[in-house]
Amino acid sequence: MKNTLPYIITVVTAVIVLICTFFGVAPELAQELDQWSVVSGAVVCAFGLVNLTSVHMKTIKRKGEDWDLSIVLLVITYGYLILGLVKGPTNEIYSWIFNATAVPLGATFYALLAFYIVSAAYRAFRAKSRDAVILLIPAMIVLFGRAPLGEYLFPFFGEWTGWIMDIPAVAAMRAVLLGATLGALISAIRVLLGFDRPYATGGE
Amino acid sequence: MSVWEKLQNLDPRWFYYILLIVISIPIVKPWGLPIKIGSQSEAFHEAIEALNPNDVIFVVAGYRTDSIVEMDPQLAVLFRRALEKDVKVVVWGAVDEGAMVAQRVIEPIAEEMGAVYGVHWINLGYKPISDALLQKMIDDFPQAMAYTEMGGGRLDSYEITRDIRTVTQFDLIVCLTNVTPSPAQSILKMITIPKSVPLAVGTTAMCLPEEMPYYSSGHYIGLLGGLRGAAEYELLTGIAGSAIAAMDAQSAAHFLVIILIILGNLGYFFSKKEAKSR
Amino acid sequence: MNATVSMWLELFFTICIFSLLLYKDNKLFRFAEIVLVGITAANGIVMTFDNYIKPTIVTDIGVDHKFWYIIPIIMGLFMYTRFFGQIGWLSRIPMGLWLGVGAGYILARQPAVFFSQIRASFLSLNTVNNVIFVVGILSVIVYFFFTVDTGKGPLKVVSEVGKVFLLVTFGAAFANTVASRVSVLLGRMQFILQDVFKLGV
Repeated sequence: MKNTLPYIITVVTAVIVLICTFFGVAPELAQELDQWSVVSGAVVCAFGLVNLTSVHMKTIKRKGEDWDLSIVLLVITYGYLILGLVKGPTNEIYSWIFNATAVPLGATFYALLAFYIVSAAYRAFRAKSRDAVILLIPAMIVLFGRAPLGEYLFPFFGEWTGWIMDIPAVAAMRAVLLGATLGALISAIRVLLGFDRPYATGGE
Repeated sequence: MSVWEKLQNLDPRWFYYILLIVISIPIVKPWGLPIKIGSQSEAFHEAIEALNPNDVIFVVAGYRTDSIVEMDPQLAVLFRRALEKDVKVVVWGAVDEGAMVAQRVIEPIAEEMGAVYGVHWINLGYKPISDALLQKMIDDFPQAMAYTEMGGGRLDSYEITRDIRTVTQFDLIVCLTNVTPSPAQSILKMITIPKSVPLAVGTTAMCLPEEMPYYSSGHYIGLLGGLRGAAEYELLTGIAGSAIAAMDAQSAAHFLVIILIILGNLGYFFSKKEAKSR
Repeated sequence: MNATVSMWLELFFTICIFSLLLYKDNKLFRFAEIVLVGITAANGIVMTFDNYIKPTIVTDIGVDHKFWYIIPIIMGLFMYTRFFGQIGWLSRIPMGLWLGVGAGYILARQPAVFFSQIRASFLSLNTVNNVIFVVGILSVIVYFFFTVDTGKGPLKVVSEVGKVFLLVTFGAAFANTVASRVSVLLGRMQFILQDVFKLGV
């Protein structure tokens, strides 16, 4: 029952969606399953919050590291959540808080990676082997070519960059894509036939 | 310890300060370097220029706050150009922050150009992208996009969306994305290939290699790649924006990375040589 | 007033985040971190609730009397049983539904993309670029053969060529990643220098 019921649901929904979408038969049935899938997925939106709350409540209880920040986190999260649920996401204050906090914070966090890249360029990017040299040379060419200064000083870098991006890079990415697509198709067939049950150990 | 060995063990914070100085100089004193236009940006530009007045485009805002620097200029120029051409714009947030990050870009432009919400443009809000939703957009667009419009109204109450029954009615879909899995590839799979709706894509430099095979095969009719792509598009349309202004600093940063790679390798080889000779 | 407060708040948070690398790990950085986590977590839930759950309950069930939508709501709630050991297996039910719908769409729509990409790879071998392109695709596919031994013979040569193509691609990808990440930092510096300190405007 614990494994059979989910499997039956998987096979029935997959077959219905496949037949309705591929053959255009009874599209309303597939749409209804779509809607069920979407609504049930939406209900899980608070899953992360439950986990977050559980972890930080434990930290607060045992006065672990930065337990004071855990309190601040829960206050901010639930405060903003309540504001959004009561006033709606189009509320002026809600939008202002989002634009004043999440937007710059999100951007700045990812900006940290620029520093790490620069540090890694000096400390880690070593031409220690033939493969490393083959990796380094196109990297340097594309770095030159994508910068207007590089193209201005050495115009051929722009052409070489265009060639690298259009020919070998696309060829390799397409091959990777074909492999990944084939893998996705085979995984879908294995799920349909019951050989793969990714949910089989879930919840235990 | 030799000079090379000392350089090998330098505190990484020095690199961070040098990076900040190197990119700050061209921001404060721009160099005005020329930018060559690539074929992908040209194709994107042609796709937009081929639109006629009163055509309606569907702009998919599939990016988050982490890529606003690269994607905001693309959206800003696209939106402004569309309004200049009297093309109507329907925006959809395909990821949780998409609708809100798009709104902060397009609302000021719409106000500046006197575009009326619900007539010239509309933001349908956030609906998480899924194959199921895309299929529903084909079968029943108003039902698929119900309840989330940013103005809180029904789609049939707005002039711009009143007669839209299916996503195939749009003259062009433009997907601006940086997330994985790519919304552009889902739209390609579910809408563009089966229903032949043209699709143009804007993405970050990091995601560009993943999208290139679809541009190369002709599935995307145009492709903007990162800040460079946005700068090229600004040049093509003659609409000045933040992307062109940032390219000088981008050049400086690239050169710094190249110099550091060369220095790092020289230091590695020389210090290895010195250690061997000792 | 709001724009000024917003600007100073943005500057404060930017400095908090940068302090991690430019100085050292500190409380201000961790405070900025938790503000981001809290706001984005809450925002995700608010957006999903407002755009899906509320319309389903209020309009679909409440007004249009589509009571069967209670079933997917209950199915979604089953996911929370993972926190309760004994009945945790119920979470497999909605996962089965999502897998089934996902698998159905992949099987229905993915082959079209797959075949169109293969079709686009069949180029006339009349130019050097086309030859390199086709050799690249085939050699990378051979590189990813795991059911055939590519360690010896002609397949080894082809596999090595595939590896070269992949290394070139990764090099280009690294350069693009540098461009992407640096541009985010650029945006922050433009904000600090031009918007706050009015330099270079």
